[in-house]
Amino acid sequence: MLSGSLKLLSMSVELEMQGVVKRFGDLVANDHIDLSVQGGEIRALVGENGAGKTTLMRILFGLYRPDEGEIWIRGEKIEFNSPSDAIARRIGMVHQHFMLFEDLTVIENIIYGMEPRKWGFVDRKTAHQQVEALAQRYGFQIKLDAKLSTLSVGERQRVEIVKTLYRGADILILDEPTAVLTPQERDELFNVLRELSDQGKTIILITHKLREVMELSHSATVLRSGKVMGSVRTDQTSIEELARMMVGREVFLKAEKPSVNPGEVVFKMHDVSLYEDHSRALLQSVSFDVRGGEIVGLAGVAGNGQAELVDVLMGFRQASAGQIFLGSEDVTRLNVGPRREKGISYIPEDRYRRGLAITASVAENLAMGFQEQGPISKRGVINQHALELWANNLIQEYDIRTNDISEMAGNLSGGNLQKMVVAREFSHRAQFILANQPTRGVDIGATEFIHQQLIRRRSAGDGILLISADLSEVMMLSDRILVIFGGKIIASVQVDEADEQQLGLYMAGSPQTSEPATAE
Amino acid sequence: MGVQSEESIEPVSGKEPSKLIALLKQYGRDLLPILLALAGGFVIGGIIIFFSGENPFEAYYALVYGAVGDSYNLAATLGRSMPIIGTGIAAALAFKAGLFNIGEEGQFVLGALAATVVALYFPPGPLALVIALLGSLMAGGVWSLLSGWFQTRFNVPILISSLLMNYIAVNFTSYMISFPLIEVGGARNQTPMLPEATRFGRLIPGTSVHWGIFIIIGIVILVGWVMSKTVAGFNLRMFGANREFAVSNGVNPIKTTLLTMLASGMIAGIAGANQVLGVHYRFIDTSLTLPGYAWSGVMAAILSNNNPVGVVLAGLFFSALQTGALGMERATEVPSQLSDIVQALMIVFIAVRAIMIIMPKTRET
Repeated sequence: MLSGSLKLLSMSVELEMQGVVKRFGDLVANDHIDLSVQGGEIRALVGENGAGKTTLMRILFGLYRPDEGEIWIRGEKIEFNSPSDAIARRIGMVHQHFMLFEDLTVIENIIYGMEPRKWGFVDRKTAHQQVEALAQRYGFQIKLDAKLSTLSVGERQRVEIVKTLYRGADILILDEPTAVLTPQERDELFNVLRELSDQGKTIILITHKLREVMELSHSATVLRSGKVMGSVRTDQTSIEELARMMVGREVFLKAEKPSVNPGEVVFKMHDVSLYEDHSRALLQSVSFDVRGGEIVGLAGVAGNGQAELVDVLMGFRQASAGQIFLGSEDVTRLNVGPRREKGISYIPEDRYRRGLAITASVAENLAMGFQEQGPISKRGVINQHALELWANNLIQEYDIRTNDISEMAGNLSGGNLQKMVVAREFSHRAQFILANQPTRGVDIGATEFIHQQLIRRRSAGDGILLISADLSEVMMLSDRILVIFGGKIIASVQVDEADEQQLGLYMAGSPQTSEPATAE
Repeated sequence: MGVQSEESIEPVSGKEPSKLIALLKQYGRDLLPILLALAGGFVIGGIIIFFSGENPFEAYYALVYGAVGDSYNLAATLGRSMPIIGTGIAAALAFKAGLFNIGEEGQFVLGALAATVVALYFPPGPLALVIALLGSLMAGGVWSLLSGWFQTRFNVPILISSLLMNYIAVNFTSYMISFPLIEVGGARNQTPMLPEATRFGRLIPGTSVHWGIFIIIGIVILVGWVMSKTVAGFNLRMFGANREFAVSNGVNPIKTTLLTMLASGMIAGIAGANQVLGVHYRFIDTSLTLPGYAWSGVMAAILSNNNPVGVVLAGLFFSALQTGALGMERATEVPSQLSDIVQALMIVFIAVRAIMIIMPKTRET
């Protein structure tokens, strides 16, 4: 539907997929997908989790074989048996999790597998010349002799891209490339991608961040349940339209927050530090509080102490110094169990790690944490009937899709599992909620639902600490935003005074220059 | 309450047919691989018999006859199953909590030793019997608890410590029987006979089936009930299914580890007491280790996926296999060690199945 209009952009069809079908058992991951991409185009491939984006790209990269359909590259029909076939056809993929060696230098990582040789040895001189020429041509700034382990995430991603280009890729597939970047790093990435596109490279961007689609790509193809919902030029569409195509109904992208007057302090950390082996500080003098009726967002690049903060907050690890209060009660020395009894709801970052047991039943997962209370148990004996009633109520209230509450939780989809965690945690009579990446890996529909639930609890006067790698989520939901860097809270801003660029600078470690707002 | 239960009857009865099918499906899923493992074990065992120059069908007939062919053989099978089921339940309980206690053999012999000492030195009678049983609970329990404590306190994996502590327990027991407790002038390394009043009577005269069988039955019922119906069992199962999940929802990991290990060891210990008080009436060196009861128990737990009823079935099956193999050895030229081969092959097949269940998941992500 857009092939006609896009002809303006470029001269030739670089990639054409026709009627591609891929099945996994009963599941049709890709259902007769047609996709046509012009040379030099930046094409966004958008869709919710499980829509089939990644499967489709894995087919294109030779990781899966399609059950049906044809793939044409530069007018030639091809069949890939492995990624090396794809690489030979000048297709490169930048994975979400980088495929790099920590202990090698940047240049070694780039040339790995395709080293220029001389007398059977690696010809480092030629390698340097080649990679430098490449970097210069596309305007990359990279330190070729630095060890990879000294590089930031954004720099590593650039290494991945150069590696792909070094292997001669003309078609670059990027899988959720901005998930781990600060706003500044993201802007730099986008500049690089635009430059590549200008020089004739074709870029396919897998993402579910619609703002980035609008900002960067020329056109977007929307997938839903394995089918193409349509392809549109981004200058002729809107975020709302894309969201509607993705989800199949109207979506409220902006969460409406009623104004709530903050109440009593429900949670407080005072000067909390955590040292590893009595030397290295993982957390340094962290102080903040959360009031009832308030959502406090904690922004930061992953790996800056968020995980340690959660562990200390919940009682998985004991703080080396400082005090932690729940309400007015000092809980610093308590373990997880007693702390939760005093009232903390906890949505863990990784639901499979702390959020649920996939081999246990749906009912058991929903009852976990309530098994010691009536009516689920009396005098240590579980009332199976009450347990099932409890689970069924939550399933209805939170619209969790399951065949039967006795089925294994592992059979449910990711979004439903997250709903299950949210349902269980919101059933605790807790005044304080720790929501760590509450919408990670869930689709727009479930995200919308979880946001509404968080706002509902805020309206009810509960305090929420929201940790998220998604800055737009933090900015949308929070009343106040803290920025964590290197185990320290380095900035605290009211949301109406926050701007994304400034927060991005804090996340990258530049300290708050203005007189620090009251963190505590 | 009355209104509530009435309301709930409707949806449940409406679901009955589908629930039944689901239940059948579920049991089919659990049982089919075991049956396949069984078939695999016997087929390969048969091939081995064939290549060693014997007729597999004849040998297997002798094996089946030796296991269940007449009332004497049947009773021998039943008697032999008791220690296997006892240690199997001990293993299943710990495994269900994700604690790889494979120290049942050590806990088993220490339980037997404690019971022997009590029975030898306490005034004979029912009270001595009770104290002997309590002593076995304590000996097995403490030994197992120690292994759990090594994990909670020093991060030594239970798998390692419990295995190594078997050697200490077995050799210590052997020493105690061979020196301090030895029967003076006895034919071999063994303790004197226990007083008659401090013994379990035979349930079936002339066989090794004794009153202690009710202890085993009681343990199976108790453990089955605790695991499926109580809060403690719920916590234990969730702890085993995903430890971090359980802990982050308030389950105390140290308490759960220590209590589970204690209970597991106590069960293995009393299973040991059962053997000296009911079968031999004395502790004969190697009589509890050579037949490999505790290891068969561990295998029964693995085979049954830690289900108490399954442990009983697997225990009876292994026992039949072993007593049958002795009959087979008498009737044919095939050595009784064949039963070990079949038993081990089954575990290999079950392990392969477990890997096949895990593999596709790791491949997809």
